[in-house]
Amino acid sequence: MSGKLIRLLFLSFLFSQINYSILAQSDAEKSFYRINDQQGVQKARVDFAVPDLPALKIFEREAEFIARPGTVREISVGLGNLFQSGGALEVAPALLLSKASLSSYQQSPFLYRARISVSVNAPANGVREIGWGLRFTIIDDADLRTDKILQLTLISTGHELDSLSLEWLKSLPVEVLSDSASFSKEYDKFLSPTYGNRIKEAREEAKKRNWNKSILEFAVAGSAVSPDSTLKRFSQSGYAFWLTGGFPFLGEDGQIVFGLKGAARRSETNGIDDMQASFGLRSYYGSNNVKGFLECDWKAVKKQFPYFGFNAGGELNVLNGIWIDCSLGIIKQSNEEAKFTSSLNIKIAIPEN
Amino acid sequence: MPVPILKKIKVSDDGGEISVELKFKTLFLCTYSLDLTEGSHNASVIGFPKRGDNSNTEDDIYTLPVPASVNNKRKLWVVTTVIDQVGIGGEYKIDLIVKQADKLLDEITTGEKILKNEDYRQEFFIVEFLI
Repeated sequence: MSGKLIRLLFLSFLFSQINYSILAQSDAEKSFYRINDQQGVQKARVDFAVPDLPALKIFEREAEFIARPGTVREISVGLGNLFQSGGALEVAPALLLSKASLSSYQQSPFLYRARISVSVNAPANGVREIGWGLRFTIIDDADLRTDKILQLTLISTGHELDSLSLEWLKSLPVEVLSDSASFSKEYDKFLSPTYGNRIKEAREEAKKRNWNKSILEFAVAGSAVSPDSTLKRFSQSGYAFWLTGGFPFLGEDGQIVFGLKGAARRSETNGIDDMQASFGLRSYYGSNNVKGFLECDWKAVKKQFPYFGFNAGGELNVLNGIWIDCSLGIIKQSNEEAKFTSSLNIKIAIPEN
Repeated sequence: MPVPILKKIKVSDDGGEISVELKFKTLFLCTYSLDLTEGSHNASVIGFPKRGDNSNTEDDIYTLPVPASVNNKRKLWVVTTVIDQVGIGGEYKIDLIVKQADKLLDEITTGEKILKNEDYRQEFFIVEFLI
Protein backbone atom coordinates (compact mmCIF):
# COMPACT_ATOMS: atom_id res chain seq x y z
CA MET A 1 0.00 0.00 0.00
CA SER A 2 1.49 3.36 -0.93
CA GLY A 3 2.36 5.95 1.68
CA LYS A 4 0.00 8.45 0.03
CA LEU A 5 -2.98 6.12 0.26
CA ILE A 6 -2.25 5.38 3.89
CA ARG A 7 -2.04 9.13 4.64
CA LEU A 8 -5.47 9.57 3.05
CA LEU A 9 -6.84 6.73 5.16
CA PHE A 10 -5.59 8.45 8.28
CA LEU A 11 -7.21 11.73 7.28
CA SER A 12 -10.49 9.91 6.84
CA PHE A 13 -10.46 9.12 10.53
CA LEU A 14 -10.41 12.80 11.51
CA PHE A 15 -14.07 12.67 12.45
CA SER A 16 -13.30 10.44 15.37
CA GLN A 17 -12.00 11.26 18.79
CA ILE A 18 -8.55 12.92 18.82
CA ASN A 19 -6.14 12.46 21.67
CA TYR A 20 -2.83 14.21 22.08
CA SER A 21 -0.11 12.76 24.20
CA ILE A 22 3.46 13.70 24.77
CA LEU A 23 5.80 10.87 25.51
CA ALA A 24 8.65 12.66 27.18
CA GLN A 25 11.37 10.08 27.53
CA SER A 26 14.36 10.26 29.77
CA ASP A 27 17.74 8.87 28.75
CA ALA A 28 17.34 5.75 30.80
CA GLU A 29 13.86 5.12 29.49
CA LYS A 30 15.20 5.41 25.98
CA SER A 31 18.04 3.01 26.58
CA PHE A 32 16.17 0.22 24.83
CA TYR A 33 15.31 1.74 21.55
CA ARG A 34 12.83 -0.93 20.54
CA ILE A 35 10.44 -0.11 23.31
CA ASN A 36 10.80 3.62 23.18
CA ASP A 37 11.02 4.19 19.50
CA GLN A 38 7.30 3.96 18.86
CA GLN A 39 7.76 0.70 17.06
CA GLY A 40 6.01 -2.64 17.08
CA VAL A 41 5.81 -3.26 20.76
CA GLN A 42 5.06 0.37 21.49
CA LYS A 43 1.40 0.17 20.70
CA ALA A 44 0.97 -2.91 22.82
CA ARG A 45 2.76 -1.05 25.54
CA VAL A 46 -0.06 1.43 25.70
CA ASP A 47 -2.29 -1.36 26.82
CA PHE A 48 -0.17 -4.11 28.24
CA ALA A 49 3.49 -3.24 27.89
CA VAL A 50 6.04 -3.68 30.62
CA PRO A 51 6.30 -0.28 32.36
CA ASP A 52 9.60 1.55 32.68
CA LEU A 53 9.07 1.96 36.41
CA PRO A 54 6.96 -0.95 37.75
CA ALA A 55 7.34 0.44 41.28
CA LEU A 56 5.33 3.49 40.18
CA LYS A 57 3.00 1.78 37.77
CA ILE A 58 1.63 -0.46 40.50
CA PHE A 59 0.04 2.68 41.97
CA GLU A 60 -1.11 3.84 38.49
CA ARG A 61 0.50 7.21 38.99
CA GLU A 62 3.31 9.40 37.72
CA ALA A 63 6.12 10.67 39.93
CA GLU A 64 7.10 14.31 39.99
CA PHE A 65 10.63 13.29 40.83
CA ILE A 66 12.51 10.31 39.37
CA ALA A 67 16.12 9.70 40.38
CA ARG A 68 18.47 7.49 38.41
CA PRO A 69 21.61 7.39 40.54
CA GLY A 70 24.88 6.45 38.92
CA THR A 71 26.86 5.58 42.04
CA VAL A 72 26.26 3.66 45.27
CA ARG A 73 26.64 6.93 47.20
CA GLU A 74 23.97 8.58 45.06
CA ILE A 75 21.66 5.65 45.84
CA SER A 76 21.94 6.19 49.59
CA VAL A 77 21.32 9.93 49.17
CA GLY A 78 18.47 9.23 46.76
CA LEU A 79 16.79 6.75 49.11
CA GLY A 80 17.03 9.22 51.97
CA ASN A 81 15.31 11.92 49.92
CA LEU A 82 12.76 9.44 48.64
CA PHE A 83 11.51 8.43 52.08
CA GLN A 84 11.33 12.06 53.17
CA SER A 85 9.58 13.69 50.26
CA GLY A 86 8.45 10.91 47.91
CA GLY A 87 9.27 10.17 44.29
CA ALA A 88 10.84 7.26 42.47
CA LEU A 89 14.28 5.82 42.05
CA GLU A 90 15.56 3.40 39.44
CA VAL A 91 18.91 1.65 39.18
CA ALA A 92 20.51 -0.83 36.82
CA PRO A 93 22.62 -2.83 39.32
CA ALA A 94 25.02 -4.35 36.78
CA LEU A 95 25.83 -0.92 35.40
CA LEU A 96 26.25 0.45 38.88
CA LEU A 97 28.35 -2.25 40.48
CA SER A 98 30.59 -3.37 37.65
CA LYS A 99 33.02 -1.65 35.35
CA ALA A 100 30.62 -1.53 32.47
CA SER A 101 32.13 -2.01 29.06
CA LEU A 102 30.58 -2.61 25.68
CA SER A 103 32.04 -6.11 25.42
CA SER A 104 30.74 -7.13 28.87
CA TYR A 105 27.32 -5.73 27.95
CA GLN A 106 27.33 -7.76 24.75
CA GLN A 107 28.27 -10.92 26.67
CA SER A 108 25.56 -10.55 29.33
CA PRO A 109 22.94 -8.12 28.05
CA PHE A 110 20.26 -9.62 30.30
CA LEU A 111 22.18 -8.58 33.42
CA TYR A 112 22.89 -5.06 32.18
CA ARG A 113 19.29 -4.43 31.15
CA ALA A 114 17.84 -5.54 34.52
CA ARG A 115 16.51 -2.67 36.61
CA ILE A 116 15.27 -2.22 40.13
CA SER A 117 12.87 0.56 41.00
CA VAL A 118 11.49 1.94 44.24
CA SER A 119 8.78 4.54 44.68
CA VAL A 120 7.45 6.32 47.73
CA ASN A 121 4.26 8.28 48.00
CA ALA A 122 4.40 10.55 51.02
CA PRO A 123 1.11 12.39 51.54
CA ALA A 124 0.92 15.01 54.28
CA ASN A 125 -0.91 12.75 56.76
CA GLY A 126 2.23 10.72 57.40
CA VAL A 127 1.08 7.62 55.52
CA ARG A 128 3.81 6.09 53.38
CA GLU A 129 3.05 3.98 50.32
CA ILE A 130 6.07 2.15 49.04
CA GLY A 131 6.39 0.36 45.74
CA TRP A 132 9.18 -1.87 44.50
CA GLY A 133 9.72 -3.31 41.06
CA LEU A 134 12.03 -5.50 39.02
CA ARG A 135 12.21 -5.19 35.25
CA PHE A 136 13.94 -7.64 32.92
CA THR A 137 14.50 -7.56 29.18
CA ILE A 138 14.93 -11.24 28.47
CA ILE A 139 15.29 -10.96 24.70
CA ASP A 140 15.94 -7.85 22.62
CA ASP A 141 17.19 -8.72 19.16
CA ALA A 142 16.77 -5.12 18.09
CA ASP A 143 19.16 -3.73 20.70
CA LEU A 144 21.54 -1.48 18.76
CA ARG A 145 24.33 -2.21 21.23
CA THR A 146 24.32 -5.86 20.20
CA ASP A 147 23.56 -5.38 16.49
CA LYS A 148 26.62 -6.85 14.73
CA ILE A 149 25.80 -5.43 11.29
CA LEU A 150 25.50 -1.91 12.68
CA GLN A 151 28.64 -2.44 14.73
CA LEU A 152 30.72 -3.42 11.68
CA THR A 153 29.46 -0.41 9.73
CA LEU A 154 30.23 1.99 12.57
CA ILE A 155 33.65 0.46 13.23
CA SER A 156 34.52 0.96 9.58
CA THR A 157 33.36 4.59 9.74
CA GLY A 158 35.26 5.10 13.00
CA HIS A 159 38.50 3.69 11.58
CA GLU A 160 38.24 5.89 8.53
CA LEU A 161 37.74 8.94 10.72
CA ASP A 162 40.53 7.89 13.09
CA SER A 163 43.04 7.54 10.25
CA LEU A 164 42.15 10.93 8.78
CA SER A 165 42.26 12.57 12.20
CA LEU A 166 45.59 10.98 13.04
CA GLU A 167 47.23 12.41 9.92
CA TRP A 168 45.63 15.79 10.57
CA LEU A 169 46.74 15.77 14.21
CA LYS A 170 50.34 14.92 13.30
CA SER A 171 50.40 17.78 10.81
CA LEU A 172 49.58 20.42 13.42
CA PRO A 173 52.40 22.57 14.82
CA VAL A 174 53.22 22.16 18.52
CA GLU A 175 51.91 25.68 19.28
CA VAL A 176 48.46 24.65 18.06
CA LEU A 177 48.51 21.31 19.88
CA SER A 178 49.34 22.98 23.17
CA ASP A 179 46.84 25.82 22.91
CA SER A 180 43.22 24.78 23.36
CA ALA A 181 41.75 27.84 21.62
CA SER A 182 43.94 27.42 18.53
CA PHE A 183 43.32 23.68 18.51
CA SER A 184 39.54 24.14 18.73
CA LYS A 185 39.65 26.59 15.83
CA GLU A 186 41.62 24.14 13.68
CA TYR A 187 39.40 21.23 14.72
CA ASP A 188 36.30 23.18 13.64
CA LYS A 189 37.85 23.60 10.20
CA PHE A 190 38.82 19.94 10.03
CA LEU A 191 35.43 18.56 11.12
CA SER A 192 33.13 17.41 8.38
CA PRO A 193 29.45 16.58 8.82
CA THR A 194 29.95 13.50 6.63
CA TYR A 195 30.81 11.16 9.47
CA GLY A 196 28.00 12.27 11.74
CA ASN A 197 25.57 11.77 8.88
CA ARG A 198 26.95 8.33 8.14
CA ILE A 199 26.49 7.30 11.77
CA LYS A 200 22.91 8.61 11.75
CA GLU A 201 22.15 6.79 8.51
CA ALA A 202 23.61 3.52 9.80
CA ARG A 203 21.48 3.80 12.93
CA GLU A 204 18.33 4.50 10.94
CA GLU A 205 19.07 1.60 8.63
CA ALA A 206 19.48 -0.70 11.64
CA LYS A 207 16.18 0.47 13.08
CA LYS A 208 14.39 -0.24 9.83
CA ARG A 209 16.01 -3.65 9.60
CA ASN A 210 15.17 -4.50 13.21
CA TRP A 211 11.68 -3.12 13.63
CA ASN A 212 10.04 -6.53 13.97
CA LYS A 213 12.87 -8.40 15.71
CA SER A 214 12.14 -10.48 18.80
CA ILE A 215 11.70 -8.85 22.17
CA LEU A 216 10.52 -10.28 25.49
CA GLU A 217 10.21 -8.24 28.66
CA PHE A 218 8.98 -9.07 32.13
CA ALA A 219 8.37 -7.02 35.25
CA VAL A 220 7.04 -7.68 38.70
CA ALA A 221 6.09 -5.17 41.37
CA GLY A 222 4.77 -5.04 44.91
CA SER A 223 3.43 -2.32 47.15
CA ALA A 224 3.23 -1.83 50.90
CA VAL A 225 1.58 0.74 53.12
CA SER A 226 2.61 2.15 56.46
CA PRO A 227 0.08 4.15 58.47
CA ASP A 228 2.80 6.51 59.69
CA SER A 229 6.24 7.79 58.72
CA THR A 230 8.05 5.59 61.25
CA LEU A 231 7.85 2.79 58.64
CA LYS A 232 7.47 0.22 61.45
CA ARG A 233 4.04 -1.17 60.58
CA PHE A 234 4.25 -1.95 56.91
CA SER A 235 1.71 -4.26 55.35
CA GLN A 236 1.83 -5.63 51.85
CA SER A 237 -0.95 -4.04 49.80
CA GLY A 238 -0.59 -5.08 46.20
CA TYR A 239 1.13 -7.20 43.57
CA ALA A 240 1.44 -6.92 39.80
CA PHE A 241 3.27 -8.48 36.90
CA TRP A 242 3.65 -7.68 33.19
CA LEU A 243 4.90 -9.80 30.33
CA THR A 244 5.30 -8.40 26.82
CA GLY A 245 6.72 -10.04 23.74
CA GLY A 246 7.11 -9.22 20.07
CA PHE A 247 8.24 -11.63 17.38
CA PRO A 248 8.68 -11.58 13.59
CA PHE A 249 5.59 -12.67 11.70
CA LEU A 250 5.04 -13.19 7.96
CA GLY A 251 8.67 -12.54 7.08
CA GLU A 252 10.36 -9.16 7.33
CA ASP A 253 7.22 -7.05 7.17
CA GLY A 254 5.18 -8.45 10.03
CA GLN A 255 5.30 -8.66 13.78
CA ILE A 256 3.13 -10.34 16.35
CA VAL A 257 2.98 -8.78 19.79
CA PHE A 258 1.39 -9.95 23.00
CA GLY A 259 0.91 -8.34 26.39
CA LEU A 260 -0.11 -10.03 29.60
CA LYS A 261 -0.80 -8.27 32.87
CA GLY A 262 -2.04 -9.38 36.25
CA ALA A 263 -2.64 -7.36 39.39
CA ALA A 264 -4.11 -7.93 42.86
CA ARG A 265 -4.72 -5.57 45.74
CA ARG A 266 -5.32 -6.40 49.40
CA SER A 267 -8.17 -4.88 51.36
CA GLU A 268 -7.88 -3.48 54.88
CA THR A 269 -9.04 -6.85 56.19
CA ASN A 270 -6.06 -8.43 54.41
CA GLY A 271 -8.19 -10.24 51.85
CA ILE A 272 -7.69 -9.91 48.10
CA ASP A 273 -10.59 -7.69 47.12
CA ASP A 274 -9.40 -6.37 43.78
CA MET A 275 -7.93 -8.60 41.15
CA GLN A 276 -7.61 -8.19 37.40
CA ALA A 277 -5.90 -9.75 34.44
CA SER A 278 -5.64 -8.76 30.82
CA PHE A 279 -4.21 -10.20 27.65
CA GLY A 280 -3.78 -8.64 24.24
CA LEU A 281 -2.55 -9.96 20.96
CA ARG A 282 -1.70 -7.70 18.05
CA SER A 283 -0.27 -8.42 14.64
CA TYR A 284 1.43 -5.74 12.55
CA TYR A 285 2.16 -5.63 8.89
CA GLY A 286 4.16 -2.90 7.18
CA SER A 287 7.43 -1.15 7.89
CA ASN A 288 9.03 0.86 10.63
CA ASN A 289 7.24 4.04 9.56
CA VAL A 290 3.90 2.80 8.24
CA LYS A 291 2.07 -0.24 9.46
CA GLY A 292 -1.40 -1.64 9.84
CA PHE A 293 -2.55 -3.84 12.70
CA LEU A 294 -5.20 -6.22 13.93
CA GLU A 295 -5.69 -6.67 17.64
CA CYS A 296 -7.77 -8.69 20.05
CA ASP A 297 -7.95 -8.06 23.80
CA TRP A 298 -9.37 -9.76 26.83
CA LYS A 299 -9.71 -8.28 30.29
CA ALA A 300 -11.15 -9.79 33.45
CA VAL A 301 -11.84 -7.95 36.69
CA LYS A 302 -12.96 -9.66 39.89
CA LYS A 303 -16.74 -9.56 40.35
CA GLN A 304 -17.27 -8.25 36.80
CA PHE A 305 -18.02 -9.88 33.49
CA PRO A 306 -14.95 -10.11 31.24
CA TYR A 307 -14.39 -7.73 28.33
CA PHE A 308 -13.46 -8.76 24.81
CA GLY A 309 -12.21 -6.37 22.19
CA PHE A 310 -11.19 -6.37 18.56
CA ASN A 311 -9.43 -3.49 16.77
CA ALA A 312 -8.02 -2.76 13.35
CA GLY A 313 -5.99 0.30 12.47
CA GLY A 314 -2.67 1.75 11.47
CA GLU A 315 0.32 3.72 12.67
CA LEU A 316 2.12 6.37 10.66
CA ASN A 317 5.37 8.14 11.48
CA VAL A 318 4.68 11.53 9.86
CA LEU A 319 7.82 13.29 11.08
CA ASN A 320 10.76 12.46 13.31
CA GLY A 321 9.17 12.10 16.72
CA ILE A 322 5.56 12.55 15.58
CA TRP A 323 3.30 9.54 15.19
CA ILE A 324 -0.34 9.18 14.32
CA ASP A 325 -2.23 6.07 15.10
CA CYS A 326 -5.87 5.35 14.50
CA SER A 327 -8.16 2.40 14.96
CA LEU A 328 -11.70 1.18 14.59
CA GLY A 329 -12.92 -1.58 16.83
CA ILE A 330 -15.56 -3.37 18.74
CA ILE A 331 -15.71 -4.04 22.47
CA LYS A 332 -18.05 -6.38 24.27
CA GLN A 333 -18.68 -7.22 27.90
CA SER A 334 -20.22 -10.65 28.35
CA ASN A 335 -23.52 -9.34 29.69
CA GLU A 336 -23.87 -6.34 27.37
CA GLU A 337 -24.25 -5.54 23.72
CA ALA A 338 -21.18 -4.93 21.62
CA LYS A 339 -20.05 -1.30 21.20
CA PHE A 340 -18.11 0.19 18.32
CA THR A 341 -15.06 2.28 19.13
CA SER A 342 -12.75 4.55 17.17
CA SER A 343 -9.70 6.58 18.02
CA LEU A 344 -7.14 8.87 16.47
CA ASN A 345 -4.02 9.61 18.50
CA ILE A 346 -1.20 12.00 17.80
CA LYS A 347 1.89 11.08 19.76
CA ILE A 348 4.89 13.31 20.15
CA ALA A 349 8.15 11.80 21.33
CA ILE A 350 11.43 13.64 21.84
CA PRO A 351 13.30 13.04 18.58
CA GLU A 352 16.61 11.21 18.76
CA ASN A 353 19.91 12.70 17.63
CA MET B 1 35.28 20.39 21.85
CA PRO B 2 38.13 17.91 22.26
CA VAL B 3 41.52 19.16 23.30
CA PRO B 4 44.56 16.90 23.03
CA ILE B 5 46.00 15.63 26.28
CA LEU B 6 49.75 16.16 26.06
CA LYS B 7 52.11 14.32 28.33
CA LYS B 8 55.85 13.75 28.64
CA ILE B 9 56.73 10.46 30.28
CA LYS B 10 60.15 9.57 31.58
CA VAL B 11 61.17 6.00 30.85
CA SER B 12 64.25 4.09 31.95
CA ASP B 13 66.63 2.99 29.23
CA ASP B 14 67.19 -0.33 31.00
CA GLY B 15 63.77 -0.63 32.63
CA GLY B 16 62.34 -3.16 30.22
CA GLU B 17 59.65 -3.15 27.59
CA ILE B 18 57.25 -0.21 27.44
CA SER B 19 53.56 -0.96 26.92
CA VAL B 20 50.53 1.22 26.39
CA GLU B 21 46.97 0.14 27.07
CA LEU B 22 43.68 1.78 26.23
CA LYS B 23 40.71 1.20 28.54
CA PHE B 24 37.21 2.20 27.57
CA LYS B 25 34.69 2.49 30.41
CA THR B 26 31.55 3.01 28.40
CA LEU B 27 28.72 1.32 26.54
CA PHE B 28 29.45 3.47 23.48
CA LEU B 29 31.26 1.94 20.56
CA CYS B 30 34.83 3.30 20.44
CA THR B 31 37.45 2.98 17.72
CA TYR B 32 41.03 4.17 17.80
CA SER B 33 44.24 4.63 15.85
CA LEU B 34 47.55 4.68 17.62
CA ASP B 35 50.81 5.75 16.03
CA LEU B 36 54.40 5.91 17.21
CA THR B 37 56.54 8.43 15.37
CA GLU B 38 60.19 9.36 15.37
CA GLY B 39 61.10 12.40 17.44
CA SER B 40 62.74 14.36 14.64
CA HIS B 41 59.87 14.02 12.17
CA ASN B 42 56.42 12.48 12.01
CA ALA B 43 57.28 9.28 10.16
CA SER B 44 55.75 6.21 11.76
CA VAL B 45 57.97 3.63 13.40
CA ILE B 46 57.84 0.24 11.63
CA GLY B 47 54.79 -1.73 12.79
CA PHE B 48 52.73 1.39 13.43
CA PRO B 49 50.04 2.75 13.23
CA LYS B 50 47.77 0.26 14.99
CA ARG B 51 44.03 0.36 15.18
CA GLY B 52 41.30 -1.32 17.17
CA ASP B 53 37.96 -0.96 18.90
CA ASN B 54 36.22 -1.87 22.15
CA SER B 55 33.71 -4.36 20.74
CA ASN B 56 35.76 -7.45 21.63
CA THR B 57 37.05 -8.87 24.88
CA GLU B 58 40.70 -8.68 23.89
CA ASP B 59 42.82 -6.16 25.77
CA ASP B 60 43.95 -3.15 23.77
CA ILE B 61 47.60 -3.36 24.77
CA TYR B 62 50.56 -2.54 22.53
CA THR B 63 54.26 -2.86 23.23
CA LEU B 64 56.83 -0.40 21.96
CA PRO B 65 60.05 -1.46 20.28
CA VAL B 66 62.90 -2.68 22.46
CA PRO B 67 65.30 -1.75 23.91
CA ALA B 68 63.38 1.02 25.61
CA SER B 69 66.10 3.51 24.77
CA VAL B 70 65.14 3.50 21.06
CA ASN B 71 61.91 5.23 22.04
CA ASN B 72 63.68 8.26 23.43
CA LYS B 73 61.98 11.41 22.05
CA ARG B 74 59.49 9.32 20.12
CA LYS B 75 55.86 10.42 20.21
CA LEU B 76 52.77 8.29 20.68
CA TRP B 77 49.66 9.69 19.01
CA VAL B 78 46.29 8.25 19.97
CA VAL B 79 43.03 9.23 18.30
CA THR B 80 39.83 7.70 19.64
CA THR B 81 36.32 8.12 18.29
CA VAL B 82 33.41 7.58 20.66
CA ILE B 83 30.32 6.67 18.64
CA ASP B 84 26.76 6.89 19.96
CA GLN B 85 25.44 3.74 18.31
CA VAL B 86 22.01 4.00 19.97
CA GLY B 87 21.45 7.75 19.64
CA ILE B 88 20.45 8.42 23.23
CA GLY B 89 23.69 9.76 24.74
CA GLY B 90 25.54 8.46 27.75
CA GLU B 91 28.83 8.56 29.62
CA TYR B 92 32.35 7.52 28.77
CA LYS B 93 35.83 7.51 30.22
CA ILE B 94 38.95 6.57 28.33
CA ASP B 95 42.24 5.79 30.05
CA LEU B 96 45.67 5.44 28.49
CA ILE B 97 47.91 3.40 30.78
CA VAL B 98 51.65 3.47 30.21
CA LYS B 99 53.81 0.79 31.85
CA GLN B 100 57.42 -0.28 31.70
CA ALA B 101 57.98 -3.93 32.58
CA ASP B 102 54.65 -3.98 34.45
CA LYS B 103 55.57 -0.90 36.46
CA LEU B 104 52.96 1.82 36.06
CA LEU B 105 54.54 4.96 34.64
CA ASP B 106 51.44 7.03 34.06
CA GLU B 107 47.68 6.81 33.68
CA ILE B 108 46.27 9.49 31.44
CA THR B 109 42.50 9.88 31.42
CA THR B 110 39.78 11.84 29.74
CA GLY B 111 37.87 11.73 33.03
CA GLU B 112 34.14 11.00 33.12
CA LYS B 113 32.50 12.70 30.17
CA ILE B 114 28.96 12.92 28.85
CA LEU B 115 28.09 12.58 25.18
CA LYS B 116 24.66 13.91 24.34
CA ASN B 117 23.10 15.22 21.13
CA GLU B 118 26.26 14.33 19.23
CA ASP B 119 26.72 11.30 16.98
CA TYR B 120 30.38 10.98 17.90
CA ARG B 121 33.19 12.71 19.70
CA GLN B 122 36.95 12.35 19.40
CA GLU B 123 39.58 12.29 22.11
CA PHE B 124 43.30 12.78 21.51
CA PHE B 125 46.35 11.76 23.52
CA ILE B 126 49.92 12.71 22.64
CA VAL B 127 52.72 11.22 24.70
CA GLU B 128 56.42 11.98 24.34
CA PHE B 129 58.83 9.43 25.81
CA LEU B 130 62.00 10.77 27.34
CA ILE B 131 64.95 9.02 28.92
